[in-house]
Amino acid sequence: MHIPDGFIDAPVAIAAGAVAIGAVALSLRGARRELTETSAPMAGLTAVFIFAAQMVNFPVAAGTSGHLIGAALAAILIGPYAGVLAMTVVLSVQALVFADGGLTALGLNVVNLAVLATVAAWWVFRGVFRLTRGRLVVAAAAAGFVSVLAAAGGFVVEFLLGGTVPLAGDTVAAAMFGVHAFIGIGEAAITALVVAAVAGVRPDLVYALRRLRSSDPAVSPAAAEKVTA
Amino acid sequence: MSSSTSRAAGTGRRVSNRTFYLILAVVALLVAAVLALFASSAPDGLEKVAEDVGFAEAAQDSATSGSPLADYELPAAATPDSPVNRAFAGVVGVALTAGVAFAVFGAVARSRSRSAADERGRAATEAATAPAGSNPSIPATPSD
Repeated sequence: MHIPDGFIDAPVAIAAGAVAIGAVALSLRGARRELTETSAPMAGLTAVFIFAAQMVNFPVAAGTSGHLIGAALAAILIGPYAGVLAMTVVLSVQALVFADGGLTALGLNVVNLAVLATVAAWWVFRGVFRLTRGRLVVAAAAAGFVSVLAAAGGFVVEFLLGGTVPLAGDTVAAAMFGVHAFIGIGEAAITALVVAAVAGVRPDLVYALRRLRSSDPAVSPAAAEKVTA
Repeated sequence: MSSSTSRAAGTGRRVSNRTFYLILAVVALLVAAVLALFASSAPDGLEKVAEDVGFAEAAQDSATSGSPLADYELPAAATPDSPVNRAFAGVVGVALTAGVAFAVFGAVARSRSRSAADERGRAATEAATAPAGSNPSIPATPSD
């Protein structure tokens, strides 16, 4: 759901650009706490994998396709701040080199796909991971699903504020959430699959497991049992 | 899920960093160069909504639409969207993303180790200047 140029007017696009720059600056600081000596390559390769996966549009209902966003995947594998950076790198390469997503719309796309999707994914992941006492795959799927709706919600708000075609907001909202609920199912499946694959081989390289199993007393005893079982 | 984590932890066999990162890179290349050739060409969610609701016409060409790799094809080639050209575009995209991402995360990791070194330096200075007997870095009773 990369926004092309022309859908959203200049004031809202510029405001989104300012928010995007602020979020990236904050994430550059925050990511320092998330990276370990050995996980910088993991962060880089997560961005690379997301770029590749975004090229693969899968069919959803009625002549529509969707592709992975990858924000939930990034938040879980490398952390929410590093995730914002990875998504921003992907979106920038796409907009600058492949004309995928508008250039003046880059700020809008960063806000929706890099910031809103990643932050929503991380909150949902953390909540579900704790509620289910450490069910990684369930939490990853929930985070993937919600991340797509969060990005769609971002677009709806931006269209209400600065859409270049006068349309009823509820019409646009209903259409966006309707289509993206289906795409969210694909996002949930791919996110869960990839997170499970990485955690199966190298759980120590999954940021969410390093962070939540060590710091949360509600989760760590059960998680520690599972790991040592 | 917890079963596969347990299995990996239980076997005691660990895939090395190098092997793991190499596998991830190869998988990304295969996805971009091969799997992407089978991607659906139907409009994506936002494009579909724009068509259905009626704002698709508002879309304008990006300033980068003249890029030699626009739309993951090679517009200048005789057959811009041939599988070979699309695979090539995918591989170039993977390489570019890798270059930018490694530069960004490399810089973050370096600034991290720099600030960690600063903190160690400060702690050492404080320890050296603290009066004897009140050195905070040597607790009277081991805390753990």
